[in-house]
Amino acid sequence: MTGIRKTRSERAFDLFNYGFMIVLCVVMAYPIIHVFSIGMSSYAESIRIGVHIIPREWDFSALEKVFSSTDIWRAYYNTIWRTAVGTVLSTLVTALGGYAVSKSYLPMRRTIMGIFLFAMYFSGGTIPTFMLIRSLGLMNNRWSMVLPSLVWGFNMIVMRNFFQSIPSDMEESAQIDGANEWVILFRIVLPVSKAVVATIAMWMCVYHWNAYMDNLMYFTDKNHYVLQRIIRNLVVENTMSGLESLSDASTTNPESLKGATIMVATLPILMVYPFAQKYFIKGVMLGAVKG
Amino acid sequence: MVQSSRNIGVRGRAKRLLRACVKHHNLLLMMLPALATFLIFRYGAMFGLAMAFVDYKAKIGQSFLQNVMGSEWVGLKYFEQFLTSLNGTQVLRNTLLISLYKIVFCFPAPILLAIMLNELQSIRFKKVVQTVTYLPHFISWVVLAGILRMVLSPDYGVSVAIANLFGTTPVNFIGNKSYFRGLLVVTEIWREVGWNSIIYLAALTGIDPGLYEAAIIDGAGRFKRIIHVTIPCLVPTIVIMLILRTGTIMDAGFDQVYNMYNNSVRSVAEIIDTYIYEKGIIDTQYSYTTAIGLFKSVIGLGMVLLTDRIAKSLGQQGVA
Repeated sequence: MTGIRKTRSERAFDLFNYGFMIVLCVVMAYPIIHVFSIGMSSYAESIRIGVHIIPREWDFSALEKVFSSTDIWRAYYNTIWRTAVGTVLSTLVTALGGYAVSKSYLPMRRTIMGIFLFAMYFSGGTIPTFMLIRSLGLMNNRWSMVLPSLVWGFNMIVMRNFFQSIPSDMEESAQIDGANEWVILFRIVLPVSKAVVATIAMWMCVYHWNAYMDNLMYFTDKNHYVLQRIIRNLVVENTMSGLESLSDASTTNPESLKGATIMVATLPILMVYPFAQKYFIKGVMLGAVKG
Repeated sequence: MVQSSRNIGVRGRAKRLLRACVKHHNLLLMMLPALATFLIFRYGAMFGLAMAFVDYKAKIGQSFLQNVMGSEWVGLKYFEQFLTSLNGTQVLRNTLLISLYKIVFCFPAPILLAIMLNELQSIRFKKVVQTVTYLPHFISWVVLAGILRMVLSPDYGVSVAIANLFGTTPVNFIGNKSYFRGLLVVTEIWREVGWNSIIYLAALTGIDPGLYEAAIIDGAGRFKRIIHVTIPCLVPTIVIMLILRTGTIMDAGFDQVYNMYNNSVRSVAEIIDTYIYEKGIIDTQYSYTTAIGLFKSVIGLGMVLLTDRIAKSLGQQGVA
């Protein structure tokens, strides 16, 4: 809307708008910067009351401590394991299912969709699911973090909608050439569906990286703790549970240790985020088109 | 006669289905993993709802189903207990109040943000604001609550510095009953305002530029254009989002509350989901908490169906 002369009130509005946005960004980003800064501060600096942006006294001993802790590495491994396995399997199974329900000639299609839709809006709840996992012998078993959340109805519908929007002439000509559904899906449909596959994969990736509830409920063995659970113990519960290798940390101050742990768990997300952002946004659009 | 012809119909249909299954066995095979996990984990869990109606007692060496069968039938006792107990009504009240606060304060925030973002002329500045405001959505509530506890710490937090600056006594926001729900609202906005604005920004890009041009020709300034073009074009999206949001009123945000609350604010912060976790998983009152969960699920499903119907009657595409 350039080229139009602005009245004084419009200029005032612009000034307010830009100012407000700057304040908003500062307020939203500051807490994260504050905690990161404390994670890299000396003891005296970490308990200084005031604004923390760049440490006045740098000290990386808390970070070193966190990185030299075997508990943190094990938790890292557990988190990466569930993120990698969960994301790959979820995306694959969701794509397969989404493709199947996108075909009108899928036998019993209405019944199958009904099964998915009902379970999207009605669930057994926390306790029955817990009892089920226990009955299946999945307590303290890695797969209890992957299998129950393998497919989300919403994600499958997003996939289905995308597949339905692809022009079907390529698929039809392949069918005439005698290709079966597997070949069609993997050779023709998926290569043109990279956007939706990337979106679902990103969603599952963030979900698994941040998930802790299943770990909290289904695992008593400290060897299986994920990163989020260790952070929860340290910064929410204020205990060293699952972090025994850090408990000799008398030399390091607790505030820096918390800051450093949060940093270590959050940095991977912050590094992936700028590249992944556009897929997330695209995903919101895909989901919003038609449920 | 009628009977036999119907039989043939059923048999014919079964035959046709069988033939379709054979022909499209690859599709069915593709469906299998997704369907199987749903049937095992979602529908399997639903059998556990039977615990709500019995006095579930676990005996060593017996399977879950044997335990349920062997437990005494108590009907609606646990539902009654939840709805009549002091704790239960308080938890229900907290859940609805926190949800209501979030609808009143957190729902309009992204709409406002989208409109203001839309008015920024610098595309690069807009991108920066979007990147910063979307970011907290990707950080878990565990970490956000941890960050919050450090920033608002009554000992070392920034809140202390600000209080000192104004010469007032510092407030322990996390441990204070009168601030806690407000804190839930503010932090919810912190995490979700940017992310939730995406859908409104998408609606804004769909506005016909001709409308703005016509408004300019009619002599409408910036504010008039916002009020008479931008906002009316957003109304359909706002209405459907509000309806969908109301459908999830029983979810007050487990992850957020669970990682932020503590004993000193429990009476205003305990919601249905945290209560189920505390009483069920920690205190092992399985039947009581299954009943609460079932109550929540039924109300939740009813709300979704109701709001979906309202949305459809308004000419919107529903959720299903």
